[in-house]
Amino acid sequence: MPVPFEGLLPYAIMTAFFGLAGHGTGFIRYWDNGWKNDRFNLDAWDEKMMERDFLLTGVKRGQSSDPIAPEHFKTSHIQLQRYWTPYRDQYFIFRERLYRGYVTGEWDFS
Amino acid sequence: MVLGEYFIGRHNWENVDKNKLSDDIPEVDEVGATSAPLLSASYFIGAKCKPYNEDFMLCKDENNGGTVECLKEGRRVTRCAVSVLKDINKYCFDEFKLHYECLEQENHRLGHCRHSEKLLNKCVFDNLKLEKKIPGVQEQIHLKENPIFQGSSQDKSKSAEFLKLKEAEAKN
Repeated sequence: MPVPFEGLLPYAIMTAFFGLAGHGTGFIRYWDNGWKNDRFNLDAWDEKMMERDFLLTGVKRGQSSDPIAPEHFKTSHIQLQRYWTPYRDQYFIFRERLYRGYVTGEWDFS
Repeated sequence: MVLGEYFIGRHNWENVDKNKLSDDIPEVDEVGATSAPLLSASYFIGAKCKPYNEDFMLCKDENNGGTVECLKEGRRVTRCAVSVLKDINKYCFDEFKLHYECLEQENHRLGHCRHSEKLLNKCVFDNLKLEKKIPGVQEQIHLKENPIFQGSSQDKSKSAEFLKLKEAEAKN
C-alpha cells in the first residue's frame, strides 16, 4: 500500500527544521572562526599556542608566517593585576566619581 | 585618599619583572610565526637547528632547568628558527601558505594535509636542502604512498589546483 504524501509531510517539516538549525549553527561557527573549521581535542599546549596566536595577530584564529614578531608582541602579555575583593566596585575615589559622572549626574557606564 | 593605602582593591600593578637582564645576554627578535606555520615548518627547523637545539637542551639538563643560565643558548635557538622561517618564506611562500592553511582547517592534523605537505617538502628540499625526517620511527609516514587514514580534507583538490596554476605560470 502506498503511503499518501500527506502522511509524510510532518517528517519533511521536521527534517527541514532540524537541518536548518544544525547547518545554521555550523555555518555561524565556521564564520565566527574566520571561515575555518573548529579546533577540537585541544590540550594545554594548543590553548597556549592559540593565546600566543591571538597576541601576535590580534584576531581570533588569525595566522601569520612572519619570521619576526611585531614590536608590540614584546609587551602584549602585560596585564593590570589587582587583588580580588568583594568591595572592588563599591568604594570609588572622588576623582573616579567625577570621571564617571556620579557627581555631576552625567552617567557613563561604558 | 589615606584609606586607599589599606584598601587592597585599589592596588594595581603590572605583571612585569622589574629586574633587568644582564648585559652579556643579547637582545633577540621573537619568532613571529603563529602555531600553524610553526607546525608546518617544525621538521625543517629541527633539521637545520639540531646542533643549537641539542646544545640548549644539554644546557638545561646540566643547569637544573637553566632559566637564567641558558638564555644565551635559547637565543641561538630562536635566531636559528627565525632564519629557517625567513628562508621558507623567501623560497617557498606559496607552498608554505597552502600547507599551513590546510593545517588550520584540519585541526592541525598533519595526516590530513599530506598532498600539500608533499609540495612543501619538495620545494624546501630543492631550495634549502632541508629534509623532513621523523626521528625514532620505523617508517616515514609522510613518504607512504597510500596511507589508510587520509582524512577527508579539501587538501587533494586544492593541491592539484595549486599545481595547475603553477604550471600555467611556468608556461607564461
